[in-house]
Amino acid sequence: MRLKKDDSITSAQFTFFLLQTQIGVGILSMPYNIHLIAKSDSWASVIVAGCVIQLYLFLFYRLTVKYPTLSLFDLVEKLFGRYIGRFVIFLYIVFFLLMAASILSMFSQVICLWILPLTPRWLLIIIMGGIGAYAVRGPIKNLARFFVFVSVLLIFFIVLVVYGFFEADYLNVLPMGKEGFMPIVKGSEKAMYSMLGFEVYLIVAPFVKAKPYEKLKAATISNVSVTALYTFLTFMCIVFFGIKEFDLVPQPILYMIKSFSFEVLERIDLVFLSFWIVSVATTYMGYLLAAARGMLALAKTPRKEHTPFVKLALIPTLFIATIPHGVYEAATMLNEISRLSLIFVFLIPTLLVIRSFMGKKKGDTSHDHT
Amino acid sequence: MIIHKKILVLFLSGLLPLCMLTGCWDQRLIKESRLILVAGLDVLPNNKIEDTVIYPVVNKTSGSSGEVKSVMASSYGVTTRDARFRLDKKVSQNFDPSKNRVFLFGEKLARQDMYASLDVIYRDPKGAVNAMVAVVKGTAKDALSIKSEDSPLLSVYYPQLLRSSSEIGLFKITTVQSICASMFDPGIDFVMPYIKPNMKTKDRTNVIGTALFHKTKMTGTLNEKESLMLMLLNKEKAHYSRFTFKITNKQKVKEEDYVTITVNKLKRDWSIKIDKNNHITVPITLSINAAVNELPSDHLNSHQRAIKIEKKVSKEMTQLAKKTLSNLQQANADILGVGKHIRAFQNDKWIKLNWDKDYKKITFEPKVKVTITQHGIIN
Repeated sequence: MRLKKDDSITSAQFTFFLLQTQIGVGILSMPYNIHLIAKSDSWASVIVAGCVIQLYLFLFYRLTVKYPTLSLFDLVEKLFGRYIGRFVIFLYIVFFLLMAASILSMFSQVICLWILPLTPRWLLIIIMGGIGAYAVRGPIKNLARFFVFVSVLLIFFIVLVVYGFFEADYLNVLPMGKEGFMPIVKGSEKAMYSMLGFEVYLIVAPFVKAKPYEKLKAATISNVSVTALYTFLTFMCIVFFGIKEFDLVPQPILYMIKSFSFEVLERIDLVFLSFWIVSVATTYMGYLLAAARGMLALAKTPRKEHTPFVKLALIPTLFIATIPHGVYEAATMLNEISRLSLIFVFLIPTLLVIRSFMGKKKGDTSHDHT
Repeated sequence: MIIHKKILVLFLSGLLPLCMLTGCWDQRLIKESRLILVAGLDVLPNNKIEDTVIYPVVNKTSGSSGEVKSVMASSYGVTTRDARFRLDKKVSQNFDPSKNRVFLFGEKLARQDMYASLDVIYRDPKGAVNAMVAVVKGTAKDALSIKSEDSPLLSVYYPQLLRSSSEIGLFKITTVQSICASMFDPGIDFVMPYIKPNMKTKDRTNVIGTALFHKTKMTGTLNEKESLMLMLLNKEKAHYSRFTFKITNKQKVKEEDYVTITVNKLKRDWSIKIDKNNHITVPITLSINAAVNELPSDHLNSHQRAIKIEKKVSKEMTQLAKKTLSNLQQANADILGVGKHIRAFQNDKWIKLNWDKDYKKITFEPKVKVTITQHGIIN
């Protein structure tokens, strides 16, 4: 598939693109979810998860070296054949739509719970969906610029949480490795779910005007930053809450920030939430874009623009997002759909890499004509 | 095509303000609510919870400025929330507890279970987890029915009282949030300020020490001096931690028997030793640099005299530390977090301990060394 010449982004923009897609709705409850399994070693789980994701970034890099201009969907069709390939693309579209919908759903639940208890959820979903669709329309370049711009807000995440150091008790993280090694590994699965979003690498990479090596570098910077940020947040939650109170707070970061009070400002959690909304929006946009690109690949229209498909992608996410009722259902939905990522983010790309090497052995020259 | 687009843009720009106005569902206006600024909880003889609240009311007089008055209201119910519900029924406008500054707990309630009455605050996203807490000897309602002369508003009086007491080193300010982690952690317990309203004059409330807690229940108390010592043992130095000790017994004027020192600098060395029989010994050494504030009987012309005073004060302080620690153990309140330290650094031993019982068996070996480094501007 030939790309339009004017729609390309720099590798720096690519870094922020991945960063913003990775940091999202999970940031609030991730420390809690990991804590349920890994207890006081939760922070180590995050690092393990970061390492696993880095491995996959190397795999993705292999693919981009071999097929620099092909996106995930092109690869799937090329390597799996026309019929299986198109079916897999369809599954990918469903996966991305479900991810986007569960993000919307979780977003509306948290907002309902923490800020706007009386506002109907469907309205929150529509507003967020509308903003998402608006941003995704048009060239990827524009979206990338927006992602770079809002990355400034990430600094506040750190600044607001750093205040917790004053009330932290470091004894809470000791002794390290108390529960053994297995809980850390199991907990890293949960951490990985909150760090999803790096899979847009395969979709956006063809738009990056840089060498494959630079793309890998950009993705690595993003992944290291996210891992560092999440490790820090998880660590802060452990030292702030201790082991027992942690069991009671499903959104630990918000709860921690809520208890800070400055001379003029109270309820800083509301400030934090407004930054968080932006992060959620960017993640949602990332998945919406992925779904729209998938639809484009499936539709085979002569115009290579995803804009007409954004509406098509938006509507199912809005409807699916309103399905779960209550926090339990929304959390279960997000969790179960994240579990699908094991197939779509980890299994299928692995198969693609294996397949691409098999192709080489056979002397397949089909990639030459790109 | 162009006309269609125009209509669409118009339609969308009409929708936009609609979206912007979503706050309408969730607006809370101050003029429509009663802000609770101090709340007190008691348990009644029939095991119901009595909720007493103080809220400000502005009396618009004919003059320009309104006069603000504290108003008290109370009601009871089976839980804290239920009591508040009944309270809402009898007071005009609805209560808003999100700006509460102080929670007072009657001693009887504190001795039952603190978490049960605090749960509602932790659970509410608007809950005032920053509110200070204190235990009242007697009932919280008594403490809230005083008319303080220091300040016409109890919502100003109590926060100031607690803050100023924390500055003289009686306790660290505790809030609803700060006690939560200790309530659930088996290796550490917490304290709360312990206050007593003067029921004869009904004009002031005294801070009489600290209330000791084990898990979620109040189990004992410390007097003022012991509270001061506990702070030092816990490595918390306030701005002005002052101790007065009797150093002689023979002066004609009673006042001359005493010396008052202020702690300037504090160093704590402690270790936790566990022997083969799992007996735990905790030597604690406090090294204090102190200033003499008051010494009517003597003058510190020479260093020798100062050393004499140092020795006496050190001995008294060591005694006080011993008493404080034994009180903690009697109340089974592990305020110093010995259990937490064992869990963190000697986890293999911690697993074998039953901290609920074993804490009482450990041996503290406190030692206080006072060095006089200042004596005011006269000798």
